[in-house]
Amino acid sequence: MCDEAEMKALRLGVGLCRQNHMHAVRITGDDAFELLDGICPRHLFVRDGQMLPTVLLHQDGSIFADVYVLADDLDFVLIYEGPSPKGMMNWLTPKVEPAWTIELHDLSGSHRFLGVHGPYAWELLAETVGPEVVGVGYLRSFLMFEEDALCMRAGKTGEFGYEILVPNERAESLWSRLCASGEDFDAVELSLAALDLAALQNGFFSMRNGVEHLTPVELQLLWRIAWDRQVPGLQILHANRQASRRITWIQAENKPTGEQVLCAHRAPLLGGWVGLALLPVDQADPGLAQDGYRTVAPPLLHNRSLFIDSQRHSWAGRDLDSFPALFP
Amino acid sequence: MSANRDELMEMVRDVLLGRLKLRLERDQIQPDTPLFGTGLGLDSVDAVDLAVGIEEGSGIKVPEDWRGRVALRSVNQLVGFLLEEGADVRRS
Repeated sequence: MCDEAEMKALRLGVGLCRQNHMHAVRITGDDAFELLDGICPRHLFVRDGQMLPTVLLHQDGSIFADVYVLADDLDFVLIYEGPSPKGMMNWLTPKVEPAWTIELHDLSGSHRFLGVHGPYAWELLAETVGPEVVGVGYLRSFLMFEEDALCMRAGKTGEFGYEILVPNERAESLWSRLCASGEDFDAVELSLAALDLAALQNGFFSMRNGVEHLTPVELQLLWRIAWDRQVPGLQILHANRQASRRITWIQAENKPTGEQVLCAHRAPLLGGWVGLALLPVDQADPGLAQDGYRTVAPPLLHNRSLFIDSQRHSWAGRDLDSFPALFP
Repeated sequence: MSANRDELMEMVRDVLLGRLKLRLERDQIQPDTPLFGTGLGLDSVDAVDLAVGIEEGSGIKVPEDWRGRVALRSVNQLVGFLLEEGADVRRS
């Protein structure tokens, strides 16, 4: 469970996070694309420095991993949540054809992820790294030369978010620099629970929400696949394309329970509880009252980051700025 | 007479597929699919096109202020906005 201080920082300021739940594999060699093309259910239209959100599927169409495919010069970096590094390598390695020129580099032992999240995350990172951060678009990456780190503007909180893949030997010094810059922003260290609550409130998919047995159809993730791809798991999805159930976001005064409820979290700022339920399609529209909860449409708040303009706003001037209320 | 949720959902899909020409199949535009950033990945040029298409399809103008930004966050948010405004579906 996360506390109010974390959520306040994440929603109104900046938070810093050691993101041990994320891992990466660097895929090198002439046939790197061949491997990814054979496993990604989405067309891999991704340019250098760009990240493509997709999923990896089990044979039964359920989700094995929540991934970004990042094109990094001639390589690809698979950034994922869900399986362990050993589980990912055991899943990937058999899919490499013997004749391919390719290497899989599991970065879990040599690198770690640090995160900076919040409406003023761009400002903190610019203070730490340099002003070039401000111009980086969503789902784009850039190299932090001094740290030999790859910084990705991504995140799943609905706020400005930067996830930094940094070599272990540089990680603590970068963390110290981020914390030092963070003092000017009253930055707080964020837990995974805070990131997960923020993701839930903003409608982002997470493998940690009790959804491992569900398919992209039920999870409303069909934008992450393409029906004309030929990868394992998609054929079964084709056969079950008409969803009889889908996940729906829910809110309640007290902890929602029942077999349809997949997860529920107390929401310190919003009050009450938020969660996910798997409901029959005709009961899944927002605004319906169920047994102890009501269905809602995410995002459940007016993210401050939606209204922040780096050319006009700053942390120092925040008390002079006016924004729509956080919660409708 | 105001349209219901299903009718408005189909109208929004018509605009996304017909006017914006998204390379998706109809069922891939699910109710809680985000429109910008992640999800359908629309950009600021698409936003204008979408707003024009919605106005033509329903008679409702998407506000240019912060309420418009909120309304355009997902398919369901947009449909919810149109329902609150009492939108009807115009058939050409």
